[in-house]
Amino acid sequence: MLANRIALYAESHGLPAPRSLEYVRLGLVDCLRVSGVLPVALTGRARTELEELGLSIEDILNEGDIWARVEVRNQGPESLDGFIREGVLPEECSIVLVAQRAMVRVVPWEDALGVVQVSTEPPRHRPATLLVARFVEEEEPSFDPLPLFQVLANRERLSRIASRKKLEQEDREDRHFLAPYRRYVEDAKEYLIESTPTAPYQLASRDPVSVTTQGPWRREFTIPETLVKIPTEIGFPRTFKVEEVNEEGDVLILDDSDPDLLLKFEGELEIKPNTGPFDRMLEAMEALASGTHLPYLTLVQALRAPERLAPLEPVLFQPLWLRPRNQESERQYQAVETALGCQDICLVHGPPGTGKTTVICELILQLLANNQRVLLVAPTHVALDNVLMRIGDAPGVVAIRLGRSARADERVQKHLLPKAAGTLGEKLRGELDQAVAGAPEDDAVARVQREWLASVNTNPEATGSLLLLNANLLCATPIGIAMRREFRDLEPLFDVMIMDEASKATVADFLVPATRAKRWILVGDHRQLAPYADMEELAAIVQRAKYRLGGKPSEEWCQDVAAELRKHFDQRMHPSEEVRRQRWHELVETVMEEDADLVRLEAIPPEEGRWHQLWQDLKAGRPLPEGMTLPEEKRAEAGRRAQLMHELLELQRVSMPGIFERLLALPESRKVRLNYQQRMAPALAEFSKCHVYDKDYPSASGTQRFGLGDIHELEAPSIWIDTQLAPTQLRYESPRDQNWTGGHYYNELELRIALEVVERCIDWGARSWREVDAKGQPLPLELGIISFYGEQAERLRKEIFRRFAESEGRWRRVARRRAANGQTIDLHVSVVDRFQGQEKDIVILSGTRSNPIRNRGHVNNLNRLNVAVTRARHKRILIGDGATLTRRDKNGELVAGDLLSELMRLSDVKVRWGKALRGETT
Amino acid sequence: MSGAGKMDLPRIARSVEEADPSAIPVLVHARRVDAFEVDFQALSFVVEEPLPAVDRAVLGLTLALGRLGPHDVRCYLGLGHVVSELMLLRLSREGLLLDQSAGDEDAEAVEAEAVERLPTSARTIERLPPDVAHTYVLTDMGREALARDARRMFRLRSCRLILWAEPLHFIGVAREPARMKKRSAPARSKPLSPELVPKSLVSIDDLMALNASEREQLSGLGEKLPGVEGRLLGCAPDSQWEVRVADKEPNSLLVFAGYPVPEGLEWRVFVGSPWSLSACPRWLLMASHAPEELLAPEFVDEAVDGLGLERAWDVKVGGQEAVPVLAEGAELLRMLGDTDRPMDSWAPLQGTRGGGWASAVRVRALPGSPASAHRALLEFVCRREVALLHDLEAVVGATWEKLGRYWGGRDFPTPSREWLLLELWSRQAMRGVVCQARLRHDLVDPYTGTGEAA
Repeated sequence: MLANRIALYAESHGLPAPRSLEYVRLGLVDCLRVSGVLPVALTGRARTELEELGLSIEDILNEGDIWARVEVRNQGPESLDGFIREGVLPEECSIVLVAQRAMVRVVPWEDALGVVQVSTEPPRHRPATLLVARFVEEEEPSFDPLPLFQVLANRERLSRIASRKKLEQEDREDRHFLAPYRRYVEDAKEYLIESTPTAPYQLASRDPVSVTTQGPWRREFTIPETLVKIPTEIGFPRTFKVEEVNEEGDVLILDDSDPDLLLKFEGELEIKPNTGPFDRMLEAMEALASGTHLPYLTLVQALRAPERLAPLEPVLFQPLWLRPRNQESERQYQAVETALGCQDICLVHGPPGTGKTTVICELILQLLANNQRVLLVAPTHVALDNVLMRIGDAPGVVAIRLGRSARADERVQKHLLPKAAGTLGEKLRGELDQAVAGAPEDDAVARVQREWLASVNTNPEATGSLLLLNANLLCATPIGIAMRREFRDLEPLFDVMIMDEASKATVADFLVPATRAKRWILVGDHRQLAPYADMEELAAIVQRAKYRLGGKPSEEWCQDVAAELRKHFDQRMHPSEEVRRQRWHELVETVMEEDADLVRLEAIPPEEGRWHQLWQDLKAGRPLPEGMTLPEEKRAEAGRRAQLMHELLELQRVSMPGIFERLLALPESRKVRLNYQQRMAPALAEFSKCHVYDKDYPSASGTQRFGLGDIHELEAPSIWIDTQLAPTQLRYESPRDQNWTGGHYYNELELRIALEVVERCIDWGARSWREVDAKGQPLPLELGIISFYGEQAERLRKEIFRRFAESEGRWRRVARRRAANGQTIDLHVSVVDRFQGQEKDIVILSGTRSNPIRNRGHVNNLNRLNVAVTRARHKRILIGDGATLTRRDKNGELVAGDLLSELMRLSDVKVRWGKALRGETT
Repeated sequence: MSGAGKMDLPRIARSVEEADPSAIPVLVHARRVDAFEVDFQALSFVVEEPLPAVDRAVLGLTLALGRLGPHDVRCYLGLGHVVSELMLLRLSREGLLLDQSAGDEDAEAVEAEAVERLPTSARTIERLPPDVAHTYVLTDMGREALARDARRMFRLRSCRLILWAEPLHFIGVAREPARMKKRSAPARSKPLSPELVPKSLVSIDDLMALNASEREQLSGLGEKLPGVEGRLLGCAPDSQWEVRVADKEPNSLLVFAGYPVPEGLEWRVFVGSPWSLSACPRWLLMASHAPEELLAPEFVDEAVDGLGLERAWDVKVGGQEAVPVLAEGAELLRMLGDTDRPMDSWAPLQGTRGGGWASAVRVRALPGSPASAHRALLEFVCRREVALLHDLEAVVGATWEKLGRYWGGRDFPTPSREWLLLELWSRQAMRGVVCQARLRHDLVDPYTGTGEAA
């Protein structure tokens, strides 16, 4: 609202105008309200002037509106600045009161406003402030005129620097900015309501009931609290609520168990979609657009025009968690200083392994030490757990984690609300039992103790509410927070919100928790993968857009457009202009349905405004941009397609980038990039250092010890096992269709090599792995086996687990053999897109693509490669066909600047490794 | 002020009857009233909720000890070091405890200085030295919460209320439509500049400062706002508000309905939309916004004169539900309605009165001549085609009697059977009825008992 906007403007310009001063207060916007009456007294001159007019001063001032302004005779409005600062009224300062019938000038007297002039001459400008007051002609000994002068002077100054028009314009711009996000959420919600609510399933577990489907679950199934009906053996189905989905997105965890084994093992389940999260997003957007709280206005301004936020001053601190300040930790200190100095929003950019979690821990401890209430939000559970594992038990921290136990790490289970409440309840029961035993009956304190014990015994929720009310650190996923009854109201209850992995949250995801806080600190890395996008949902929104603009698109076309839109977005950071141009061409070609005349419009860059302009030009019959031609009969169609393209680019902007990317334009003083990586062997960081982070990604001294150089034939930290010399019938990917664009790729040869590598690593681990943590505790050996494609990951999972693993778990299991230090050897199979945020001792990466046309698919993507190559601490073993994945010039040299070729250059390449590559069976 | 525009007064009158089915009005005056959206930066609410067990325990402990610190909460209730401190901080933020070290200079703080630490022989869970730095005492609010086992939480909420300015009347809480216009930016109009804001809204904080019952009496704005949790206390001190025209507000109709009573007319007020009105108890305040002549008893006579219809006889409306008027031909039929029995109708008065008021009077149409009465009979008879096929004479007889009763026993000669048959024959759809009547008359009745008797 405008009143909030004015207040915000005043505060941000160091003009916190008093909202009330003794008898004067603000009221309706642009009005001042006066309590009681304003006494006025007449000078001789004024009395004469009034006599000439035949009016009394009360007649004039109590009739109709009175507009007021303060001014200094013969001086400009700046002359009041000193008065505002120091409170000393300048000489010849007066208030002009413009009434219906006359203009009256008053000056401060001791016990009244002294009327020095009454004139019927109309003023040149009407003052901007309406004074709602009643005037009496009398002297009032206790009256002090100064507050009226002060408030009016403040208003004068404020209106001088912030015109109402300008503020109204900002209000419109804020709403305009939020509108596309709102449209997207509305569209997604409609899609959810209308989408097919059934899917095939198989039970993965009965306690709690968990179900899998073919591949990952569609988004509509994974929204918490969605109702799911599962058929039973006795006829009628049972209804469950979705609690959450596993990290890989393919196991739905439901809210109850099936102890009587009544559920059918497989079949078709039905859902009743839950629109709650979308409703929460829409509510948040409406509150932001209306500016119902001052911080909301700041937030929308930051999102709309981040570059326009004022620079901030860092605040020095005494470290509570960080190690001593030195070259390697310097940026971490800077990040905390910036965040502590930030009164609204700032970013901490953390490339892989640079200590984001460390910074978050320090920041939380600093904030809690200052009695601030902190909301820690992250789109992934692992990010929350990483922080909680470190500082969840630190002195002064009362941390509660919202969410289900199934997803929380074993070490943070105690912070989950039900567990924490249960533990506390048990402790209290024991202690209070002892305290009240034999305590005097009539003692008031003992009576309180007895009542408190009774509450703890009879009402387990008492301890839960105790914790929720008093926790100073609350950890939740973005939507999780708003689904709790205690936090449903749109109120900034938390002093600070810290969002980790902010590059994985969309703007709409971010807004829901953001409306519960007053300041926001975002931590993330936009050079890693962007938020997950549901392609079915995107295709449905594309279909709506096309319908709206005329035409009945086929489902296939909509899916193609959605896929191309995503691919175009995914390659936005690719260093090769050629790659980016190609993606744009593919998108335009798909949207224009390969009409050669229309495809020529690709010369217009992928900017919403330019396509909107083209549509306008075509509609108005204006000429096309220079050098562009179009047959006359195709102008109308081109106009429709231009409008569609404009909408698609808007959809891309709204639904795909993370909030972190959106805020990159913040002023430099509000951003800190962490630089020293402490995760991996220096050789493993080299690719990202050179091709992703502009060489500002040095390795900390402690990383020199990483590498595990004693694994036979796998000594180097960065290895590429190149399959290009294997016969094509062995090395090519499947499915092997005509154009090698089948989609669900897998590669049998790479699978066999991966099995050998895993076996070699397990053998080595069982013989030589003796790592310990900082406290001397032995660590497990962690192996990550990842692929760029889901089908390959699925095959790797099945085969690796069959041969080497025991225990339960869909994507993570423990090897049958133990490491030399007695700890487990953990096996985690996944796809790159779901592996962000993970780190493993050894990572085996299957490139999968291998074909005669050298199509690299989405392997050749800067963000995805960056994630894939930065997951390993000691060793990264890429298995891939160099002939397909890399490019060589005519001299046979790897092409400089080509991402995968550069990766090969930085790797120890092995073309004859293991039995599979030599044609032997493994 | 809104003009009358085109108002469907018969529809409005029906809504009045639906809103208050206990009586039938004879006269309605309706006016559209400008609605305004008043955006309050902060309205103050009090939300009452059960006192959480842990709060009750801490407040109870404070009462028992007179004053306490975090160590006491730890020692006697078993809450940990951090939770104890956070707990006391929160309760003091919520106004239930007073932190004595905070340096407050108000009367309550000074009074709190005098609170003494009370002795106890209760056993502690852990042994700690007494707190010196921070001690807390109960506030009046804390004492009340403890006594009632409920705490009052004061909440500031920004709210958008829909109000009429003249008369001042609360319509509801503005909400964003569930499905807004999606393809365009949801624009909001600019707030009105102060000179365009009605006086009652410029100083609406005066209204908000009243207690709930006074406020409700004056404006209908009580302590509960639909969809907003808590009781409304008023505007938060020093908060601002802005006013916009709520041009799409459907609830913009103010209706006065006059009910006949022996002394003249009794007035009731309704507000809402033409399709849905609700009774408003604040007649006197509302009436002050209507021109006096509209509410004068003579208005009905003048209104009927203005209708351009001849009065059936000189009657006052007292005790009557409608004003009897004479009408002929098609107009008579129109006024009798299109159902199978005659109905009163609402006759809108030409033009609008001062202030945009439009009025309608309930009239009962009487035929001005026997011919008109016969045409009315024919019309109503034709509306009962199925019954006619069975027994023309019985239907005609019953309808004529019904019309006679409706017309207050006015005596018109009965039309002849031949005339009626001829008229029915002239209507294509009624020829079957005529044939059936002839059949009965010529070929059935003469051979049956009916015929013989005839």
